[in-house]
Amino acid sequence: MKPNILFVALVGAWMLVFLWCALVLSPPEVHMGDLVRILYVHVNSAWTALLAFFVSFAASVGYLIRRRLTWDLAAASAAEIGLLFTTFTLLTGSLWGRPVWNTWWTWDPRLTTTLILWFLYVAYLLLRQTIDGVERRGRVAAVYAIVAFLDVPIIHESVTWWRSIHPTVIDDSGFHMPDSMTWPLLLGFVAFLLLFCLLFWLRFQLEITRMEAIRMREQIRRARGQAAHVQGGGR
Amino acid sequence: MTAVRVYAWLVASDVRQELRRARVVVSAPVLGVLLVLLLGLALGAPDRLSADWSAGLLWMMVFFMNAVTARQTHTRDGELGARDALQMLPVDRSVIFYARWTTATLFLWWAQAVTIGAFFLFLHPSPPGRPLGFIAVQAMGGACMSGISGLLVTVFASSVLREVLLPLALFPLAVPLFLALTRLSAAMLAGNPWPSVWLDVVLGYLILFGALPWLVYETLLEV
Repeated sequence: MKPNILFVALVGAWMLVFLWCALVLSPPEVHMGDLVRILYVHVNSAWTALLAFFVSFAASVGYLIRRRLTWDLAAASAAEIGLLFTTFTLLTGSLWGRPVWNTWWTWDPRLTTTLILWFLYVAYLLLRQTIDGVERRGRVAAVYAIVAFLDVPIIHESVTWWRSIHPTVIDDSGFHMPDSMTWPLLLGFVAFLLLFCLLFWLRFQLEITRMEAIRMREQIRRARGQAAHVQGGGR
Repeated sequence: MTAVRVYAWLVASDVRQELRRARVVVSAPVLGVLLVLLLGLALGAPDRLSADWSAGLLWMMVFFMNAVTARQTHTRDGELGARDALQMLPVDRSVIFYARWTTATLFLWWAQAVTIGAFFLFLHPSPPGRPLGFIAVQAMGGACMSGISGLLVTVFASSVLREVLLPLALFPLAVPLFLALTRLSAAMLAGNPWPSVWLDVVLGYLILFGALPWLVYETLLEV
């Protein structure tokens, strides 16, 4: 329990530093003013979601190769967190879009494809909940997670050919923003990365405990069955 | 028995079974024509549709036809008790997928042909400027759509929510393909040159969903 508390404290402290930099230290933008501060949460949520989906993909490949339950549990945990951060990305994007683009939703490629990604992983979690048998569930979910993740680069590429009004402040050539904004963004990236690690670790532990509880319940049921058999004279 | 012979036998058997029972070959085109009529009513019986609208509406109908009828072969296997027998075939199991993909594509092409005929008859779009290109796009799109849905049907086969999950996952997975097909179809209808970028997307889908079953289909069929 102690390492968990220390980890929570570390993530909390880093998050506070990040929020102070993003909300207080960082200057307002010339055109958008204080609205620009949504960027620090929006962009980092999007990055963390993609990282989580990559972890889910890698764990699914690991499960199909090694067939160990822990890989499957890791894939599910990462996908759940990825979905959570994708939801944050969509919500913060919508909140930002209203004052800047004068609409809560626009058919911009980035927005649309992020929503598509959200649907793909909602289907993944629904799939996991509706399949009986740990092994079968792991196998089927792993294949789906691989198919879903392989679609991500195609989705990404397709939007580069589609007209977009979404600003691109970070590309292969670097950060197209002043240093006073770059540093809070990078600080936020580390904060969100730590938050992802913490959530992933807690969710993964919860899954392990749940599996252990199922195993123990099964043992008790079997022991009760045997006891009833003995009491009945082995008939 | 070689893989090619098993493949040919499975395709012939599927086509024979389907023609005997006439489920997909009747229901899919009927659904397509019904969708055309609904669209005509919803759009207020248009005098003429633009190439962009025609292409988008056509692929939307193909998507729905595919989503609704994709599970039929799988259901039939269950009804006839053929699933266990298929798994005992002495070949790589991906051969089963490729055979099923071929028959699903043939049935979808048939449904597309009827639906497109009804579309031109009822909604009066301009005839394609490049008819051969238009047919090629329809053929490639049908093959891609049935390939994706075939793989997803197998993925969701053991889920109790399979009827909902198939369209829920099929559309997000097929969005870039959907975009590419509508752009290519619009170009062919308007008589414009091939937009190579979108052709690459379709070919990418064909390669990806052609190779994936070979890698993962056997894993999905494990008991």
